[in-house]
Amino acid sequence: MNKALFGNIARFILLVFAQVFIFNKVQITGFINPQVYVLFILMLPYQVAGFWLLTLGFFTGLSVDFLMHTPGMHAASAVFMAYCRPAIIRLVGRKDDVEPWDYPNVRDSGSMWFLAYTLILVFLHHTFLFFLEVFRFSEFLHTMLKILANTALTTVIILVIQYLFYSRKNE
Amino acid sequence: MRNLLAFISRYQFTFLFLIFMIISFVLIYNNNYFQRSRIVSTTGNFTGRLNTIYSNFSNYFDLKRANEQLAAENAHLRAMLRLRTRNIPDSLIFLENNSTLRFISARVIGNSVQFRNNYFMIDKGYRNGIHKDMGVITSNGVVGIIVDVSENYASGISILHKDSKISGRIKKNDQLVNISWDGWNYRLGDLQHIPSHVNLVPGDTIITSGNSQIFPENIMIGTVEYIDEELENLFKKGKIRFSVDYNQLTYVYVVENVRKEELQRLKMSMPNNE
Repeated sequence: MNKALFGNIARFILLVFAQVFIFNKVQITGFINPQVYVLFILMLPYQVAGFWLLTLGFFTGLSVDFLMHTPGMHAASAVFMAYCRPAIIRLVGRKDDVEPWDYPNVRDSGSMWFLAYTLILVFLHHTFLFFLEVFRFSEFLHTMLKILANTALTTVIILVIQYLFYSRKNE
Repeated sequence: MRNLLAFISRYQFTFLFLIFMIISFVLIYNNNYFQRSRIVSTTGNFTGRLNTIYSNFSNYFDLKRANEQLAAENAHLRAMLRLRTRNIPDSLIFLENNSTLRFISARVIGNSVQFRNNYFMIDKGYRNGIHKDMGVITSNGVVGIIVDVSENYASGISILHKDSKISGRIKKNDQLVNISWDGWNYRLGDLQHIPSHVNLVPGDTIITSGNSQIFPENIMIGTVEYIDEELENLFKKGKIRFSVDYNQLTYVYVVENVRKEELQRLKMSMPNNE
């Protein structure tokens, strides 16, 4: 249990810093900007209490916000994503036979399950985030394109991280 | 009362979600760039230091280009100096010697181009005489406007922001144009609502008008990339290629107009000013 807790804390710190200092510097044609820090929320245990899910989601977003001087935007999108997570888990297929600290990942959840789960939640998060950033619907097509391109890239990066660190039994 | 409590505990997940959403939106709402100073003054020093560490590292890869740029600027200034010493009997020079402009050099320690609203951060703050609403330029052209100042750092919005609008002038015929950014390509800005009689063709140079008192006159903004005629409504629009590559900012100058307050007071007293 302590090991799992420690793993989550380490993941939180690593992902937030990686987001601010690596993934925010990734620019392809100026509008691609993957939001990989959402992986922290994706990998919280299946049975995490609702209170902790939302609170951790909020503070993950808030940390990114404060390091990037965009207060509120990432916090709101991350909370929105955390709020959707239980419903999406139900939609993709509930995992019943799990231990208290088991968490979604490619190895245990199955790659198709994890792909669908990641894709839907990342899409929801990006939709919320990018519309919040633009704050108007007049640039709808542009924003949609940005959402789709970034959803694809974020999902690919998350899958790469998954296959690099979680595909084999290394815990 | 008991029913209310039961209702809340049943939907506590949603209630908590709504509470967090409200907090976030309050933060967003207060994050209008007019009110950002509060957040930057509390977190500015911490993130400023982090950004300095990061840019100290990443600047090594930029040194060659930054050196070339500084050398080119030196050469240009040297040429101007020679020109000036040669033509001393010119009344204009006296005017320029009492210049109302002051320049403060600074290093960019944080910068983005990929968002809809982009900010940059520099390593000088109010200790060094930086104030809100000062203009920021490089030797290549206009960068942006300072919106927040903390003790040792300041942040600004570049042209790449939905609230940025820069008043420009077509160099060859002094017509005024407004430059904004649509969020697509960070190298191209928007020119809109140009009356169709204005002579403007691709390749024309756009410079600052000096009307806003934020930027001095005659600072390069960019060159016209292409022009679209809009026949029905007598206007044309186009794209401008910024002369500054916002992805490569390293050293910038913050411009202070010493007589800005005086000018603004005069402007306020004009009858049709909002």
